[in-house]
Parts: sequence; C-alpha cells; structure tokens
Amino acid sequence: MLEPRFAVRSLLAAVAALMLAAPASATTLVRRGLDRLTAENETIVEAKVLDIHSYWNAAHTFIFTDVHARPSQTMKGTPATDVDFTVMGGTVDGTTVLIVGGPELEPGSDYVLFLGRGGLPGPQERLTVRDLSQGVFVVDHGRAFSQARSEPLLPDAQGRADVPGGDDGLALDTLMRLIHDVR
Amino acid sequence: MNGSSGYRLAVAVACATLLTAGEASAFRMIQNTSTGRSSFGTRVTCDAAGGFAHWTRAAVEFRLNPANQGGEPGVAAALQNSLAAWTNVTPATYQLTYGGTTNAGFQTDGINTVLWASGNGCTGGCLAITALVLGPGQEIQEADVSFNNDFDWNTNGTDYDVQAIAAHELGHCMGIHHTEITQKRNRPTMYASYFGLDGRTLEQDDRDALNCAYGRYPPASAAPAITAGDDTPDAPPVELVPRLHSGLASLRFALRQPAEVRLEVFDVAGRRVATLLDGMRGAGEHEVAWDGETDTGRVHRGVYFARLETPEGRAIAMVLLGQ
Repeated sequence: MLEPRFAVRSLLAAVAALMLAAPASATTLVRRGLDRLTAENETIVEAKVLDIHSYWNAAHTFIFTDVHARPSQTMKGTPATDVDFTVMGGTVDGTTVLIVGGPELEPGSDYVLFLGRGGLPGPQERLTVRDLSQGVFVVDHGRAFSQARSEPLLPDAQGRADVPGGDDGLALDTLMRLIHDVR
Repeated sequence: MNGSSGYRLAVAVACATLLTAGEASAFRMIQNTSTGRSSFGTRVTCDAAGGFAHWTRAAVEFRLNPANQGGEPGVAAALQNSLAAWTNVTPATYQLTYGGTTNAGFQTDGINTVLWASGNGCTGGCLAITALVLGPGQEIQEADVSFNNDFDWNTNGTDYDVQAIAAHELGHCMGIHHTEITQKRNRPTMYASYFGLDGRTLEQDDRDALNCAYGRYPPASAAPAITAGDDTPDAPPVELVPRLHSGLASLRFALRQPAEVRLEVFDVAGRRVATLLDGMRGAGEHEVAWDGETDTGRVHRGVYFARLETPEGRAIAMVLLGQ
C-alpha cells in the first residue's frame, strides 16, 4: 500500500509537469543570431542533461549549479564524452539564488547548448551558458526551440529582434547545417 | 484611524484595485518553480496557486556600487528616480530607498546592490541581469542588479538609458516578470524590450503588478532587513523529492556535506531495477534523472520506488515513470 503522502506528492509533481510550457527570459537581452551564438561560443552540442548539483561557492557568497550532460552530437568544439558546465543560481538548504532570465535546465531533457567561458562571478575558467536563455534550445521531437522565444529581445545591430527558429523552432538537421555554415 | 484599521483598509483597497484592473492588466509575476528557475513561461497571475516571489517588508534599500560606469555623473540620480517610480505606486506602501554607495558586489551578502561590471553572468548581448535571493515561501531576501559595463550607458534618455532600464530591473527586484502587453504606445516598463524614455515612468500594468504583490503578501511595515550571518532554520532531514516531466522522472535531494550516496530504484515487487548513484557526491542540492534505463534494458512505465541512502539518513520516494 502506498503511503498517501508519497501519492499526493507524485500527483502534484505530475500536475506540475503537465503545466510546463515555454521558458521565459527576463533579463535585458539584445538579440543574438545564430551567427554570433556560433562564433562567440567554443562548444556547441546537442546533449541530455543527466544531473545537476547546486552549491554555495567557497566564500559562501553565491550559489552555482554544475550541470552534467551527455552529448549526442557535437556541432562545434571537441568536448569529452560528457560535458560539465556551470550556471549561476540554484537552491541550497532552502535558499534560492534565482537568476531572472537564466537558462533553465531539467535533468532528463535534451538541449542544444551554446557553451563558452568567462563571465561567471568567480570561476572564469568554467564552461557556462554565456548567452543565458538565448544560449539554450530545448529539443523536442527533432526540433530545437530557443528558450528566449517567449520574450521579445532588443534589436541587434541589424535591427533584427527575432529568435532563431521563432515559435516553430528549427529542425535539428537545419540547425546543425546553419551552425556548420557559420563555422 | 488607528494603524491596524488603516492597514486593513489599505489592503482592501489594494485587493479592490486588482479586481477592477481586470483584463486590462497582463503582468506576470516571477515564480520559483524549481531549482533556480523562474516561471517556465506560463503566466503567473496574482492568484497563481504556487504563489510568487515577494518581499515581506515594505522598506527595501538599494545601494550603488560606484565602480566603472556606476560612478558616472547622473547615475546615482537616475537610480534614485527609478526607485521613486516604484515607491510612488499606491496603494502599495513599498519604500524603495537609496542607501548611498557601497563596495558590495553581485553576491549574497544582505545588501541590495546595483553595480556595473563586465561579467557577473551578463556578457555579450545581456544589458543587465537581476539576481533574487529567495528564502522559504519565495520570500525575497535580497536583490542585486548588474549592468553590463561593456555597453555605453547614458542618463540623457538615449540608448541605453540608466533610469529606464533601472526601473525595469527594479521591477524584477520586486518580483515582477515581463508583461504580456505588447502595444506600441504607452508600453509598460515591464515590457521585455522597451527602453525608450517613456520607460522611466510606470504604466498602469506596472502599478497593477506591484499592487498585486502588495495585496497578496501585505508587507510588515517595519520588519528588519535580513543581513548576512542571520540564523537560518535547521535544515530538514534527508529527503528525496520526485518530479516528473515529459515522461521522465527526476529525483532531488540535498547533502549538508560531501558524502557517499547510493540511489537505487525498485519495482513494486521490491526488485532492484537500477542503481542511479553509487559514490561520493558534493554538498548541496542534487537532481538526478531516470528515464527507465537499467543495466539490462528499459523498464515499463509505471510505479517504482527510489531509495536514497546517505550517512545523513535514508529516504524513499515513489516514482511515476511515464511513456
């Protein structure tokens, strides 16, 4: 017999999962096209997030989250079998540092990740998602959807403010070809 | 009128304002749905079941770090004007005040800091970034804003105008997400990509959002600020929390210190079907995904049990594995 407490929790989790929709970005971001995303990041992979680990830094001044992911295809760079990177924010002991507009990564989900170094407060040498929500595409049924698609962006130097792929996303092979062309 | 009845009246007026705001408002609030996440794009309304990030005190002091462009003439005044824009919202009684300068950074230190830096996770196309420190119940304990020092900032209304973007980021600091209003004229300050000169002033949708927070979470008028080093409640015993999304299960747990961890999955007959973790793991929060894979293949969807064993304790959770 299942304990009611567990059943209720699981049902709530299921309901919460059903409510998931497109992620939001809420920092102030200037539009980044695939050309700049590709040129300015050293590693681009399609990968499944396996697990995440949130922790306080040594000075206990910031919470970071390490993300462990397994690439299924590499679009730029030469990552090892698995790729590890760090993002700002996370929850430890009931305290959350929430980066408004940061990338949102779920263990078990597939993403196209644009990863670069620098910019983190502290560990400059770590790979991270430098372009925040613009640097993550959610992979769903063979298509990649930018996590920045639910929010307007400030126009770039060419006056464009559209998210690559828009609401319809991009077929993975199309995204791969576009990235290859830029390289 | 005594303070108590006046307070109740103010709350009643706030609620009435929200009701009359009706569909003209399209504001969204910031909801911490999981580890460091914001809202998943769904519209978090004032009566959202999961609540939203909010302050529990009315007085919120911000300080300016004068390093880099934060020390340029006019920046402090621009920040003070943007603070005043939110303070002037009624019936909400939040008082966003300017506390002078600080050398504090983009870190969790109990000081609400506005600063300019090249980094802090805001590089490339990022103009400014806001970090909220949330306690239990999504109580905002601190808010920091880092402007990207690699851009040229102005206080004369041209791109990029400090006062307009500070007003926008301060909205995030108050728990307000981007509005869904996309009209060309009288755009709310919380519209995602609008930073014209008019962005310095708030629109009705912005005011409705703040009054929403005020009405749902009436702040204590004189609660003391939380500072670094305050006592934190005892951490709960080891706990294993299952989640489900897209047919996949994930399991969350926390460690107070590095420890040997074993996380296994059993079927309803008690047979072990998978070992997800077996070894040292660092202190902090962990989340592990399971898609049904085992050493001998993939299990069917259904009900399973996960068991976590650590030196800090043992926990069991039910796992619903979808298709």
